[in-house]
Amino acid sequence: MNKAVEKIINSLEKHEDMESIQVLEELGTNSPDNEVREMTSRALVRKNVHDSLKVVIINQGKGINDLSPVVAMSTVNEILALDDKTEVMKVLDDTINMNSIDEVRENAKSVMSLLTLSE
Amino acid sequence: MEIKSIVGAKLGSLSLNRSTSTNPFDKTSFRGKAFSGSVLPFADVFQKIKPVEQKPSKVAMVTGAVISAVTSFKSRITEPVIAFAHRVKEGVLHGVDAVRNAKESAKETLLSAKNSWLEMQRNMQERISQVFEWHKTPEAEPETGAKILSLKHINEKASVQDLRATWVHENEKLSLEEGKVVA
Repeated sequence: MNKAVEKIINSLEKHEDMESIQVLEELGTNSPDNEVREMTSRALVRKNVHDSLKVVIINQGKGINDLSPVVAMSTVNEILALDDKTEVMKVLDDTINMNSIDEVRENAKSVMSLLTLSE
Repeated sequence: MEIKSIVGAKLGSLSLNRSTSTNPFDKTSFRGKAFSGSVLPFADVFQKIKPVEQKPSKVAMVTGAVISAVTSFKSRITEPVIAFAHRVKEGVLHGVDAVRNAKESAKETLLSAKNSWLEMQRNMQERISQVFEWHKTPEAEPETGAKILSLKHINEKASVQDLRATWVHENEKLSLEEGKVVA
């Protein structure tokens, strides 16, 4: 992966400005490069805020719903590794109850089960 | 009566023919035929033969002495010569090995020197490019006013707009490079 892009993703992950989530979603999760998508998803999970977690949980083709199993599994692993899982549980619960897409709901359910089992 | 007389006569003739003597020239041998051949006189007498005394030949003795002397001289001469030849051969072989080793070590030294020189060049190039990178002024993006950041300036303290602009710029650079590779 490009060194500059890697540094930008890391910087945006640590950035306090909430606009960083938009940039990560716009340029990172839509990247054709699997590595960039994987790194962006992990950065969004590590941010551990409602908006960043929503990006990787409720959007079809992004985060846990990514078409690449490597990206999806990497995101799930990052979710499982979170110290504070309160926010992610809320987002998953909302997705299971309210999301219109079956696949997204099923994935959210699976991640929820994994989280429950891992606790 | 007749049978008895016949049998008795036959047995009597048989007993007459049997020889009781061990003498082969007995008159009774060979059914009454006496040996009339010549008999070797003193056939069973062994005569003592005196061994022939051979006098040692002086010529043969001298010849033997000369031959042994020559042989010993030859061995005395040839052994040191062979040993010397072996030593010379070993010395030459050692010399050849030493020369070969010296050549190889010189080659290795040259190679390592060349490698270190190349590495030094590479390091210098990297350092120079790094210095240029650090002192490069951020390029301004006319449309939004955001700056393209150098590698050194990319951190969480930079503005999100600048980071975004830099990311877009990097993507453009990458797509251009990929286009060049494809072309």
